Amino acid sequence: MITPITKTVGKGLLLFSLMSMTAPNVFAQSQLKITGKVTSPAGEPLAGVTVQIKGAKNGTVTDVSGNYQIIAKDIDVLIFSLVGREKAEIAVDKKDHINLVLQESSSLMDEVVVVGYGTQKKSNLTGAVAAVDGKTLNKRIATNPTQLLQGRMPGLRVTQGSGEAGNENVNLQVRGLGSYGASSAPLVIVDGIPGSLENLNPQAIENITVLKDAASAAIYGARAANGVILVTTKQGKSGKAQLSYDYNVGITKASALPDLVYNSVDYMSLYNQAAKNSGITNANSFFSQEMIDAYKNATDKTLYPDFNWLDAVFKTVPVQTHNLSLSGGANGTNYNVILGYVDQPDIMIGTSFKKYNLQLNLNSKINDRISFGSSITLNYGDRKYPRNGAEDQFLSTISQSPLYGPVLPDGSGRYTSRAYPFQSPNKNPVAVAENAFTRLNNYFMQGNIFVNIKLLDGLEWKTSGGLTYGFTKNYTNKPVINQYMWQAKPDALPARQLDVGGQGLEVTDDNNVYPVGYTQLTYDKSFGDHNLKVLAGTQTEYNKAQKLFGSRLQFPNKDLLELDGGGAGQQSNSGITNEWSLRSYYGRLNYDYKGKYLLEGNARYDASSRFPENRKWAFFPSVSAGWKISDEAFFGEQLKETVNEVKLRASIGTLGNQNIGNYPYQTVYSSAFAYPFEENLQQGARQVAMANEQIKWESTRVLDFGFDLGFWNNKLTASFDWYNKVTSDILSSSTAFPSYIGLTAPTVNYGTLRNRGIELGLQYREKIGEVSLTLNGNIQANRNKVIKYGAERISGNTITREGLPYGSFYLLESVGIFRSKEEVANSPKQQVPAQPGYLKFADVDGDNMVDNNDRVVVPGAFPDFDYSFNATAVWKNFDFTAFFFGSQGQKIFVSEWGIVPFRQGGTFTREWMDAWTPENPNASLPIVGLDNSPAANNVRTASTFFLKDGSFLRLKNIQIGYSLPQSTLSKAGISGLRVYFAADNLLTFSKFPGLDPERGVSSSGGATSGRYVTHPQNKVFAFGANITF
Amino acid sequence: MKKITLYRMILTTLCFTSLFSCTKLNEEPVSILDPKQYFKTEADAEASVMGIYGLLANADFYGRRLTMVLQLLGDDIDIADIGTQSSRIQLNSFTHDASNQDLLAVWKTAYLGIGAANAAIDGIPAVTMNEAKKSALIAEARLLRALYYYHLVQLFGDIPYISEFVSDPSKVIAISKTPAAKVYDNIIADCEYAIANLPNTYANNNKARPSKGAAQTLLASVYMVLKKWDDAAKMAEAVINDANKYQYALVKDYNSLWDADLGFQTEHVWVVDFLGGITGENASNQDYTAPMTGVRDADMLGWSVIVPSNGVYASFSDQDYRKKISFLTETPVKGVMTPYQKWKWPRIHTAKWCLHPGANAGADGSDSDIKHVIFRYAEVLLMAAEAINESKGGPTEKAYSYINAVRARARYTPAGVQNFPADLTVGMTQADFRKAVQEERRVELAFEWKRWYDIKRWGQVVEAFTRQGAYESQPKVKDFHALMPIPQDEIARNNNLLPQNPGY
Repeated sequence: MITPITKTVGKGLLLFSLMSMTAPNVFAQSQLKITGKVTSPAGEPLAGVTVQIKGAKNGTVTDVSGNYQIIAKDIDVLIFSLVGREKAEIAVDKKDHINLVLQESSSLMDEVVVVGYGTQKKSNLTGAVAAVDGKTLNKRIATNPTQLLQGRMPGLRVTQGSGEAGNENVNLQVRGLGSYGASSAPLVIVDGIPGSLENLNPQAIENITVLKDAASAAIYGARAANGVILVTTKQGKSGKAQLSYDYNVGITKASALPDLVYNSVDYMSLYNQAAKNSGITNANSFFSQEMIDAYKNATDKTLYPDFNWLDAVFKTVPVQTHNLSLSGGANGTNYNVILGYVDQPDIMIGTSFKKYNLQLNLNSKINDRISFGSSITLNYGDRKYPRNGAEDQFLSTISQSPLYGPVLPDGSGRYTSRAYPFQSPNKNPVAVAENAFTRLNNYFMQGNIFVNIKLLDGLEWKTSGGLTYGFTKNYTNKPVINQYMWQAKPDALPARQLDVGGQGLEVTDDNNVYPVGYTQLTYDKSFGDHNLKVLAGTQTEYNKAQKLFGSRLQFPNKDLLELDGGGAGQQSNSGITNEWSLRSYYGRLNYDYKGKYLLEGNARYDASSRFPENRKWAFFPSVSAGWKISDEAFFGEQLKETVNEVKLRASIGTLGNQNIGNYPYQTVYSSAFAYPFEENLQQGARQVAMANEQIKWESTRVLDFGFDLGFWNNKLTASFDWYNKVTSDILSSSTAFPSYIGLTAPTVNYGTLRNRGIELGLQYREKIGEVSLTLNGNIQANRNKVIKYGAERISGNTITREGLPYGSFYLLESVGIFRSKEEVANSPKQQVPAQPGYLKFADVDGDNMVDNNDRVVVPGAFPDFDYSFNATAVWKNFDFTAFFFGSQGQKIFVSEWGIVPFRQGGTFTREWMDAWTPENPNASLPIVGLDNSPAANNVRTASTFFLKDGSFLRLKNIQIGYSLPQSTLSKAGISGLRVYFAADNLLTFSKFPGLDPERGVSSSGGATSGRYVTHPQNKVFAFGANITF
Repeated sequence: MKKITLYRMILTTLCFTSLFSCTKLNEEPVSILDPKQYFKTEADAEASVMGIYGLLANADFYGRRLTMVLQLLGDDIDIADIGTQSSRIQLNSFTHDASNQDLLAVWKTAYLGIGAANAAIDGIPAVTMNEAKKSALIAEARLLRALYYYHLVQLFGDIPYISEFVSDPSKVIAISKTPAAKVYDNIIADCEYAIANLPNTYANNNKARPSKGAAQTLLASVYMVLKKWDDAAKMAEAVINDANKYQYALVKDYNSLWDADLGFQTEHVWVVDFLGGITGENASNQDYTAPMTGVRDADMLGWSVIVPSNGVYASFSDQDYRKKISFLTETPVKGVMTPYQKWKWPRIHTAKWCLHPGANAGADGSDSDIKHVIFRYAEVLLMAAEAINESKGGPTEKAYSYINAVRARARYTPAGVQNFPADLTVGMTQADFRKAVQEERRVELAFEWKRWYDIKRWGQVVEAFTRQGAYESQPKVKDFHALMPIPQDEIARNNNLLPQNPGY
């Protein structure tokens, strides 16, 4: 169906009539009804293409199938235009059917970009802004859209902590670590309202913009210090209803797993070596020759197995995604509904995630002055996982030896504890996965509406209100499970109970309600060559979080999963409410002269409930300017043929942060210190923390210089930014507050962090014959430095000291293995008295003794740079994409299970077969020992020995698709069908040993230092189809 | 028509927008108590005192950390599972330094307790209530403050003494240490106020709240440390003379002291009460003493961390009933009674807490019902005997009667009264009697976190660990080890706490 603009816009109709009347001669020309279809080079129909007659103001748009119909004269010229596509002009020339392929626009600068509280032409941007469209994002398949942002926008660092289903632990950081006290996460805005990325359906995303510098983000002043991510969801487009269905199945497995020794005889012989090295003399603590022979000569491998525990815990699983969407519009009302369902079993047993999502977007034009719209997101997540989490499961797995499996070989179904009494493995991970789990049901609702009223020509009034409600129900089940010796008799007593951290059932309800609203006026007017745009508005928001907890201890059996199933004798409960609120006034002024000299000012005046009366309000201004040199006369047409676009940008401004505890300035008494007298708990109360009545906003000042370049009519474009971001008055717990004061330290404004860096984005488009090629490359490099901190703080393996990156590595230097007694005697005294085969650590301060004073700062807390590369090629009906992502220079300190042999008697990686022994003095690895032996303590000393290179480059995604020809499909009533094959994390280049180098950032914000056993990322082989009716 | 719609929309939007301004910017805490509502009623005063106990009955104090530190420092306790945290191993082997996390935790918890006590002491006077009750509550808070300082000053020596609630940190942020002697003076003043204002007893024989007798006992113990023997003897005898009034007496069977299900006992002078099955917040009401001392991989699911030193078992007479009660040499493993030689850590364990942690305790004995002893009546008797011997130049008849009362009780067994240990007979020299009391304390109060303070005040720290035949040989122990280092973390926050205690 066609919808000529003339019918819906009254004024246009009037104009058309007038024109018709004043130009009677036009009727002398013959009128034609022209029809046709507009498609992309890939053959996809293009909806919403404006089709106009050159010189006239009226026109029409294509429907969802790309079809249009227009009345024109045979001497007319039709203009086809669509944002992001090259404009095309076609003379009618008596043709009544014109089909057209619209090329993608090489002029990116004409794109419109979503910015704070509005949109802006990309060519007029003066701040540092990066954007990506939903189509590019959805080349990868993910349940959590946050993952998809990785490598797509320079300046936004996305670190996916793990591949665990429903718990990807994605960390977003805009331009480095901005604060160590308050939160350093960017603000996420969904359709104009603060929202949540992870609760969205990736398919519902139209585009995403990141505001990086103060100029672009200052309009969100109060919460913008760490950058702003703006998400716009897909709106319906006018035209007939379009139904589309998307299906994807991904065969998912671990991206990498360590090469562990699961040969029982090999395991036992190295274990005996380790026991010997540990000075153990008790013969009962060794595997006897008899035991070893039992495994070596076993005829019954079920009784004497070489059991591979990794295979028992890590599986290959299918992940399925379904999306059903309906969109269209008529009479000025457009709708888009997407129903999504994801069924994601995890590669680790006992873990799964299901996500149900409904996105409903509606917008309507009441008349030419008033429009309104609303978008609603409903999300239900159902996540199940072993209650101690993936890391605990993983380390428990490695702590097992190959001598036994998870359940007894007698078929009784009893869980195994161990094979021999002197073994001491951690929890049986299969028993945990099957019994002790947490179930997290997460309900999320976000709805918002807006009304837009054109008050006068150029003056618009927009008001929007939203409500977010989140509810999470958490069941943690801790049943009593017995574990038995591997070859236990049927009547044997349990060897031990499964340690699930206590017993009973815990139920927690969390709910969060967050209403927000804003209202604003915009005035957009041109006076000759002077273009002016003014925005002023006010926003208010309030948040209330509540928690209710209950538990009971004694349950008659493990399948009763509600509190009433347990005895009321031993129960406990607690509840808490926290509130905060913000109110803001904001404004923006854009001015440009001939689109050549650009000026923008932003300001925001914010108040937070978290600060005392006289410090509630704070003002966050910014200013930015741009100069399009290429538009200057002196630039010359000659040069412009090569360099068609040169724009310089500069901005400076201040942003705020208040994301800390809710009542830092108020003295509060907590009653959570009940004291038991006999059978009753007495209500006790005391002041917990020192309040700070002087507390104020943390502030971030950002200076940014950048330029945008276009070559050969934007065939090659480049965008570069340099920034200097200084966060001061950092809100954090005072490090100068002695404990003898008798209260927990107050939150104070103290400390300064600096992040300085560069970002570069490149794009190249080319058409070679029938192949259209697009290449993108991004690189970002950030340097973090502590400017003001106070006394240095050493925490574990890291140090925070002025002049260094925050939380830098601080370790002993490992300088090889002691090969002989002579070498021991001639070397400085070590912390653990050395023996041949031990690791040798450097005596840095030269006092002939290795101690804590010999620790040195080792670089590598943060990456030197992150980079990505994307190539897209389209040939006829085929399309192809490859996306590489890399990170260079970050070091990771790994410890314990999997990297240290025999942790809790568990197995070890194959390379430890070449451990030092007197017979193998030139071994590549040091001596092995059992837990807590001097040998093990020597190896486990925090040193550079376990500091690994976390650099990697990986083929994040590759996809090849085929769109079936229209001619074949139309017979079946189908307007589009595309099938594709995709793979995620297919190739990885890294020196990191065994497991995946891509892992979570440190919770403290500094260097990554922790256990080796992180849930790996997923390698996915996916097949999918998209069908449109 | 269109115009009407426009105006309607504008009006509607305006109404809607006006809702925004309702947001108040002053969020008052609702689930945590607001100080404005605080210190108004008697219940507030009472709750503020109860708030001090949460730090006493706490995993970082009597629930494990303080008692563990005192046990590890003593020569009667060692570590079996050498895989336990290195901070513990360091304390046990006297290789600890100022960054020891256990010492820091004890320091912090004690000062949090002192902060809570100061808040109550300063806040309660403003409450309108019965004056006697008011004084009693203040007295209770002051005695709790005295107890926290009693541990701090003995462990660390000179320490910052905070005498009032700190509302302006700048006043104290750079203070220097208060000499130990001055700290003791303040402790004595608090005890004296408590003695004058505390009740003799509480309802239901509640010994978790300190009575006048508890205050006198604490004061006696302070005088013992200060070697003010006259005062110590007077104070201890005051408790003994009023024992009936305070409902203090030795229990018949030494063994019943270690059964958590028996609740408050007459021998308890002052205890820290834990209630099983309920895990408190912020480590309050959490007790790990039973698993810390229990047997690993046995049916009791203990952790084999804290065990008697190797020489201690042999040093107890086989005839002493208390030996049988204090030590654990066998326990069921998978239902079969198994001797200690076959345990994962083949060491004799202590039996005082792991056998009967109470009906509500967890499977491994954690979160027990135990009432941990601060002072019990047997110690009062032994203090009196020791103080009299020192102040009078030798034992008096009363001194004999006090120590013999303790020995007589030890003769009781459920199987009948034994002859051992016999009464001490009149005619001992001062030195012999001193030795006898010291030995009696070691046996009677074995493992009850008294030993470190005892060898310290007797000047035996180095001797205890380095002499021939030491129960626990630690050749590295020097005189300076009598004091623990001030936590480094605290010095980093206030340099005026320097100099560090010598040796560290």
